[in-house]
Formats: sequence, structure tokens, C-alpha cells
Amino acid sequence: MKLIDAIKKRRSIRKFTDEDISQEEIKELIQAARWAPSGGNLYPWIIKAVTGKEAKKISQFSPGVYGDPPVLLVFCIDEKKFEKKGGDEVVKYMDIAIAGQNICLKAMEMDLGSCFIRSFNKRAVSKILELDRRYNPELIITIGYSEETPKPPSKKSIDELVGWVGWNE
Amino acid sequence: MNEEDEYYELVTFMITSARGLIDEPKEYAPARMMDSVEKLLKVLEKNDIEEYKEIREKIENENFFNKDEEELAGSLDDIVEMLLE
Repeated sequence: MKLIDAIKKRRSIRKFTDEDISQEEIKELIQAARWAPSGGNLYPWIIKAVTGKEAKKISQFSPGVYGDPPVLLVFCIDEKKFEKKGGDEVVKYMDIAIAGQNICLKAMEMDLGSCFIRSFNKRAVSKILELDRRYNPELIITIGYSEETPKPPSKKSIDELVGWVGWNE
Repeated sequence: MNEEDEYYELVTFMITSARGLIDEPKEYAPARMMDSVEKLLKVLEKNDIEEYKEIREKIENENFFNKDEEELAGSLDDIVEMLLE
């Protein structure tokens, strides 16, 4: 699959089949995440790959999770690691966003569905995963085989999105 | 899932939605409420209360998160009309 095709075909999937996902498949997704860029090559995040009854429990405490996904990838910021290096707080969120998008595109290539989730109860997720205080869950990506094919939403034109500077000089 | 688990799931959804909505866009609130209604009606149907099946199906087929304010109001008005029938 060409990269542009994966980018165009990716959708936020909210209905999943009950087919299991293997650890090998998840490792392929994590491989895509670990090749994402990170400010200062710091990678101030870890991923908890969650399935089974813990995934169901987290889903119950996550209003943004739909469709019984078999796997949840929970991105946790390593606050201690980030604080040690210091710098602009926004960077750590940019880092997990880039790594997350890599996961979603790789999932698309593997015919897996995915969805970015921010609507979850952080306190509950931390407790269910027994996270050390240094780890702050900031993003969940749901993973599973899709049971729907959502239509593409409307997109802005290139001219609406870009301001061309210096091109006609 | 037994009845007790179904109620637990519904209550958990409603409470975590209420907490989450403090930090989320206000437009999410009606959609979360309708998600709650859908979940409640599913529990009722499993317990052989089927009077609201048509409404539940209507809710299930709507995507309340992808509507502008006018479309959202229209959809909710339609459902209110169904309750009056």
C-alpha cells in the first residue's frame, strides 16, 4: 500500500469485530511508533498494550471508546523523564501525536481499524493499569478489525490550508 | 453480560461522561446524553421492555457528534416527536 493511500483510507473506526489481535501484530504497530521523531530524541512516553478484561474495564470508564475494541494502546507520558530534560510542555504531546498517527497508518496497512481517544477517565485508567505516578495516560488508540467502512468526511482544499510565502519571487 | 453488569456499565458511562464533559467541548454534552439514552434503552430491551425500540434504532443510526447545532436540534426534535406519538 502506498503511503498516500493509507493516509486517505484511514478512518476513525468505532465498530470492531470480536476477532483477536496477536502480540505480533501489536509489535508491528509499536515498531511504527518507535520510528516516529521525538524532540531531542527523548521519547518521553511508554505504551501499555491492553486486551481482555482490563481493556473492557478501561472501555467502561472511557466515554469516547465505542464498539468493543479488542486492544487499547494507552500512551502514557513519562513526566519524570520529560521534567529531567525540561523544555516546552507542548513537545511531549506532539511526540505522542506523531507516534500515534504512525500507529494508525500502519494499522491501515495491516487492514486494522483504529481511533484516537481522548475522552477517558485518567484517574480510572491509572488505577486499572496500576501506573506509577510518573506516568500520565494522555491518549488511547483503539485497535481491532473494523466492522464498518465510514465515508470520508469533507476536507478543506489545499488553498484553504496553505499560505504560500516566497514562491513568486 | 448480566443485568447487574449492564447497569454498572450504564452508570459508569454516565458518571465518567459527566466528569469528562467539564474539560470537553460543550457540543459533546447532548451527544453523550443520547449515548446514555441508547445504552439505557438497550438494557430495557434486554429486559423485554420494547416500547422504545424504534427510538433506540433512530438514535443508533444518528451520529450526534458530527452534526452542526441546527442539525442536532432537528434530530432531537424528531425524537421528541416520536415520544409524543
